[in-house]
Amino acid sequence: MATKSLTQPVRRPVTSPLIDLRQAGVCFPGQPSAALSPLDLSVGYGELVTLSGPAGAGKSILLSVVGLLLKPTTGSYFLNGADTATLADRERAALRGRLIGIVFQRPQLLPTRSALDNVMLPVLYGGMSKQKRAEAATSALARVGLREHLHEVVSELPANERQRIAIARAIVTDPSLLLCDDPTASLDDGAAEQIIGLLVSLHKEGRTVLVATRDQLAAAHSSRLIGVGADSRTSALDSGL
Amino acid sequence: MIRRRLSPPTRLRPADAFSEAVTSIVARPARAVITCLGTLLGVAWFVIALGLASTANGQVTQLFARHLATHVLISPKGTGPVPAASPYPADVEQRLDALHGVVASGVFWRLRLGHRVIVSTVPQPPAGRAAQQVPVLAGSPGFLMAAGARLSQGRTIDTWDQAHRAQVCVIGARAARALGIRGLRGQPTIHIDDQPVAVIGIVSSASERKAILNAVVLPAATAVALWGPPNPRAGAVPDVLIRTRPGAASVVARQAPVAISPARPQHFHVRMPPSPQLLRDQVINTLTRMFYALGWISLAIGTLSIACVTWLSVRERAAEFGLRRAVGARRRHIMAHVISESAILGLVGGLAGASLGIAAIILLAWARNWTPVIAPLLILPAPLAGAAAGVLAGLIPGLRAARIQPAAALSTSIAG
Repeated sequence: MATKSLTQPVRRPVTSPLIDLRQAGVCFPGQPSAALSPLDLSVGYGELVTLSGPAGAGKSILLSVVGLLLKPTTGSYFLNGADTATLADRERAALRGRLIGIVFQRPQLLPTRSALDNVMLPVLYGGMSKQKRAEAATSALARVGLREHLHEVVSELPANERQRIAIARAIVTDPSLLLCDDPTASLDDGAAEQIIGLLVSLHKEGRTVLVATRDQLAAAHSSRLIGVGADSRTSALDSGL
Repeated sequence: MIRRRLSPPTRLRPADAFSEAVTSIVARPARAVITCLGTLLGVAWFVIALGLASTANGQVTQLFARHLATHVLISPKGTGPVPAASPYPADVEQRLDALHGVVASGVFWRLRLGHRVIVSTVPQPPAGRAAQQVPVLAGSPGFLMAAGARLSQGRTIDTWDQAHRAQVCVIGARAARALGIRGLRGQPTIHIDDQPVAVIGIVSSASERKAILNAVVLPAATAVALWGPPNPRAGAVPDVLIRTRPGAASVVARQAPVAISPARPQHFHVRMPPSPQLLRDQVINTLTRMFYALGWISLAIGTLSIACVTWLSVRERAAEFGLRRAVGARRRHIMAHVISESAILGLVGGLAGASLGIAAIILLAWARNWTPVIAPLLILPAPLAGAAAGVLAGLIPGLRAARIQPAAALSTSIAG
């Protein structure tokens, strides 16, 4: 009998996919069309998958579903082999805190706090001592090349560095699954290239990475490119890249 | 077969919740001040109201103490057989003065001889000169003191005068004016029913027997020696006036008849002015209730004010709470965060408010020349009341924050 924890970092592919969406869709009440058309999506361990599609196609909604921020209103979603519909709120919170790291389209940093404080936020809910939290956050900031900016207030940093702090925050818990929602949207080409390079290196460390982006560079590094949009109502377009 | 093991839930240590709340408060000082202000004013008024209640109680008690019964009047009961000389024993004053709470006592009666008693500055005055109606009182040495008499000139009647039946008197200031006596220089003498009596003192005030100001008082023994014992048939009934310490009148009133005549205490009428105790209690109760109501209302307003500011703050910070949820916070962690913030602000506001309230009471009492009375058991927990108000005020905003859907909240940027 094999025993595995939902939150244990998983680096090597095993038989069941890490993410398994079955006709999962989202429809908000009072809205005529679905925010996310029902789709099937299966992502294995250690993959780097790019989600592409026009603005409003539902890429962010799809990432919210995968990141357990939103429940699908139709279909089902299996994460690490577990049906997420059966999970209690505290279990979903635990998975968000330990298994999943999310980089939002906007950095969503606490503007009056330091880079270190921002990156320590996810481990705050891990019950760790303040010293261990600081060590983990320092290490994550060093990983994204911001060791020199630990104590700087984030509102005073340039956009590129704020986005890297957001990535450090996403990886501070050493998650198995990294979800990135258009992380290069507000960056210039040079900064975007740095961010994509960072994500690729994080993928190479064994993480499963899902990136919703219109950036061609990200797509070039992907193991798969999946189209999300009005035309893919029943299933994601698997480009097989 | 894969067996799924539940992941350990995320947790937030209380010290971390406190520290996060403090950091969040410090990050937004202006909002913290506005939130505190509501509690500060609420708790300040709460403390002022409670302090005023106790201060006012003390003040009312002092005011009423001035009007508490301090005098007891005793008269012989009934119109039965005329007593031999006096209804009271010779040592009545000593007996009464020995009672606890008695300041002074004395026997007195109005001189009534069955005909008009003429008081004049000259012997056998012509009809016109004697037109002044000046009552004559006979009193034992303690009577004037029991009546609260104060002399502007001369001295009062003493035990020597009484023992030697001295033909002396003290005269009320108005009676002196009526008789044309302006002072004691020249040793004035008046004639009472043609008996010469030396004036030895002028009474300027008599708090309990204002009639003394219009009268002449001479020693009781002198009156008996000159005109015989008081004749009840002529209307001369000897009474005993007792002056007591404030609040002792009712006890003295019960004990005095027994002290005067242990064998027949029931033969005496005892009279005392009605006590304002009940009225005082009613006034104090009403004041206390009113101030307490004001105090609670102000605390409720303070609580409402924190609740409103916290509610607005939660709305404004929806993205922040959404982010916290997205990185692993459970609903209860968010609620604990919001309630900790409002409780800390309530505590700080409570501390400042209590200090302000105490200062205000002291200033007010100083300005009104009152004695500030502050009950520590009521005032010291005021900062805790502020914290409790904070917890209460944080409940609904906390619930709202805990219900924030992270996906929806994160569609906007985190506010500074």
